Amino acid sequence: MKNVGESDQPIPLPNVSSSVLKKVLEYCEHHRGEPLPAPDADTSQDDTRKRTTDISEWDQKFITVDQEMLFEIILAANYLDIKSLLDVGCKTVANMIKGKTPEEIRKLFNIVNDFTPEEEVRLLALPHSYHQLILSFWHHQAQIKKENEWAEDR
Amino acid sequence: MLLTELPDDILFKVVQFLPLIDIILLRKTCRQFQCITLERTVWIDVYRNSVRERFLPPGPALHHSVHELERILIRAQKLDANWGADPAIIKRNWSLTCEIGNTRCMELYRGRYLALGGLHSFVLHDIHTQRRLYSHHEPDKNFVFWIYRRSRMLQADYDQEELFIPVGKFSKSKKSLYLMFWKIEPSGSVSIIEPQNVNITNSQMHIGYGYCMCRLRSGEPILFHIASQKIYTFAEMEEQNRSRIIDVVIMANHVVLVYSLYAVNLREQRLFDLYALPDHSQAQYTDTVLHRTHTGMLSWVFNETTCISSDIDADHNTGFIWLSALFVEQGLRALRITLNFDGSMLFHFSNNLRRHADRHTTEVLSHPYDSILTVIPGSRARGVARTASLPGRPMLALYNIHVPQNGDLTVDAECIWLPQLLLADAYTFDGLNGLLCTAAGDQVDILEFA
Repeated sequence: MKNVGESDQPIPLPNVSSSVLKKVLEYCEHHRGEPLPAPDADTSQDDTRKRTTDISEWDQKFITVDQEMLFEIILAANYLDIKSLLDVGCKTVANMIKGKTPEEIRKLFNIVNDFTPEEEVRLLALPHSYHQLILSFWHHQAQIKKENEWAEDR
Repeated sequence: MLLTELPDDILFKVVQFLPLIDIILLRKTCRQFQCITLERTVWIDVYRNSVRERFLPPGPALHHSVHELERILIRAQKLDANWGADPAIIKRNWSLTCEIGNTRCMELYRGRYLALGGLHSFVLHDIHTQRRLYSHHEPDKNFVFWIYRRSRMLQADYDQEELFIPVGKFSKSKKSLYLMFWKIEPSGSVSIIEPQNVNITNSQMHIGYGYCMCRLRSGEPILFHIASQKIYTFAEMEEQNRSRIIDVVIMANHVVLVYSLYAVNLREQRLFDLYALPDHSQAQYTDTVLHRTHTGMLSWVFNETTCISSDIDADHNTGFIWLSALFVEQGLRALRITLNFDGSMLFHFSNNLRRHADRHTTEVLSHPYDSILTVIPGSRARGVARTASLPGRPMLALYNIHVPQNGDLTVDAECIWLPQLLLADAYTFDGLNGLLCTAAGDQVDILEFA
């Protein structure tokens, strides 16, 4: 993807395993010939990019991998400076987090709850408006089950 | 490898793609995410990405803490979700008994500073701290005061650090009206500015971007730059047009004057002029004459209740979009004017008014006699209007106006009646903060939309 010039120098890739590199190359091969995003994309373009978490059909299929592989791809994309692939990866993680309760997020990503019980009580003592917002959010999603879980969590 | 093992800059990137609600829920999973989601940059990002779609007070400002940014964003999200609910969810934020007796006029600035005017007194309250900032009781009954009413709420009112609130001071003996300003510093201290000999007529006053547009007693329209107290006059303005200005829109770089005149066939016509504003960043700027850059005719026949509300697109460099919501004889319509960088102008009018549901009579939508609108650049407006549709039962109606950005310009309006308890002598509205202030007699209520 990145223009590395005419140099024949090998590019060291100490942090990228061969299976991940294969995936990255597959991505680059598919998106070959597409215009590169401008190195200093202006802020307005940046804004629209950030707001949408839509992923194209091919990318969606491409990124349907296990978590281990997903994170490796993200790391490799970051290391190799492949902006579009990094975006696809981050959007995928964001989509996995969306609409989940803290407990569900922990379960999904194997996150250890390292808050002390006191901290947890304080965390949950949110201003009234937070509760209302969160409740209305659940209501909109019609995820009654999750709402109950969340209430228990509280 | 685990999600939490990814470097922080990648996790920041993930958070950028999350909606507000999910960021808050993610915070509760573990300490690492608590730290990340409490970073100021995250919230500045969310704020910047929300400005174009929500009724958010302009920001983020340097003085906003992370928690303040969060609070403002959550408030805006709630307002957006609940706005248009019928019946409207309203709660009383604060009530005060106005010490100056009957409140004749009131105005709310920055969703915070409430100016009240009686006959011989005026008072300024800070709604946030519920404190009185300033009051003036004139012993000399020769003087009468009032607070100017605005029909527009500009996001730009928030931009400058200092806030200027215009007050009219009328001398009965001299039969003259003088202009004065309250200057509110960021610290909350208030001072009075009385420009020397700015003797104006009792016509409408338009303020925005540090300017105030009014008419001198000689009949000449002027643009007054408040901070420098400089008076600008309009070059190339036809003599006969001076008295025909019916509306003024002050924008970041231009001021638009709209004139009304009758053609030979007695049909009313609307003309407009666009004048470029002076560039105060140039220290050597000494010209006190404004020059016309555009002139034209609007094929739209407004009636007297027409209200134009406008704002500019955030991007000053590539031209701006001027979205207007108009009350005309046939109802509510939209006008969008784009001034391109090359100087050409584009006009878009909405052809028809669509209503979501006919919950209420058509009259409510068609005949408001007085309204205040808040517009977010590009696509949406919300407003409050008084309507004369039912004699003896004046009521306030809420408007929710949506103007799709792509395709034909159409207005989707929802109208919600507010209960009769809101019947008031004076009212003012801030759509960005969801505040409505009403005054009846000496009782002033500050109401908050949920």
